[in-house]
Amino acid sequence: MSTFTELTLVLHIVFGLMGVMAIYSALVVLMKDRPAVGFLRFMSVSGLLLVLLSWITGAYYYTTYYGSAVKPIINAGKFPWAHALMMEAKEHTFLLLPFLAAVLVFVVLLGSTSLLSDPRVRRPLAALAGVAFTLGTIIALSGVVVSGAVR
Amino acid sequence: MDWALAIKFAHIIGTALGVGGATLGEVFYLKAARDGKVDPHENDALRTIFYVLRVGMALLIISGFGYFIMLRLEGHTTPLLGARMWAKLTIVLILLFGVVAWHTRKVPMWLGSAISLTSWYAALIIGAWRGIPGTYVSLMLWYAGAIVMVGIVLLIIRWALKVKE
Repeated sequence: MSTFTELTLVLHIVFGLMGVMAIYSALVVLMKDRPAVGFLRFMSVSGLLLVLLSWITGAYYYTTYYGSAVKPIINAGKFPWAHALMMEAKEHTFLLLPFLAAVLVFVVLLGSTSLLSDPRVRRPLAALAGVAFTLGTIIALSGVVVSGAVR
Repeated sequence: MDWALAIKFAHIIGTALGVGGATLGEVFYLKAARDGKVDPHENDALRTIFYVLRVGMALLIISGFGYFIMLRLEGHTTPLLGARMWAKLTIVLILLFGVVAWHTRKVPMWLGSAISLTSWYAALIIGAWRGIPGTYVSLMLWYAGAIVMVGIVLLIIRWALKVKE
């Protein structure tokens, strides 16, 4: 693996992890009766940007290296399901995440402070952030499984 | 200082802050709740402790994934599918979802405390005990049993101290 490919893999993991953590922070803020709107906006926008960056770096790594160098090793190894199940699920679920994060950002940026404090808006937004966090977590854990199968 | 050492230090510091924060948080909460109300000074101390807990959790997760990246790049991938790794990941997830459940007030205070305390100590023990015996299922059963035990002990302490919640 070239240094640049290694770098894209590392950045994919780091951006993805930070993105999921930012979405989790937004979720916890949305659980409060009076959310800190400035912090919520910062975390939501950071979450979207980081998830997009993870998307781009992950796509580069997948198309230039994973398919030709890693996938054959996994398929020939003891855990072929790591690619067939986990990676396939990961790459398709991953498509949803930036869109969920984008919806969160649009509502949080366009909504006033009083609107975002209204439980009728805040609770569905928290549910949306919760779904995005859960999907992000599943994607991250799938990555650990896929990496563990490379042997 | 190389990356491996920096990641190890961050992991140890994160765990120490988490275990210390969870322990002190429980002690301060019990002390504060004895009279049935948490005054502003006590509330300030508790908020500071919860902040330390959040820093500890962030350090633990970031350094944990640092280990993951190191193992992947060095080709030492066997631990990534090991019982110890997945037990720790599960415990961290339980802590994260526990915070959300606590905010929704779906979990009683004593149970939330039991889960938090047990989880932090379990993460410390599993992390420090290299070569810990047992499968993923057996480790999680020990963990579940420990939560029940800690919950019972906390209920007894609350009863003995006449804590009003």
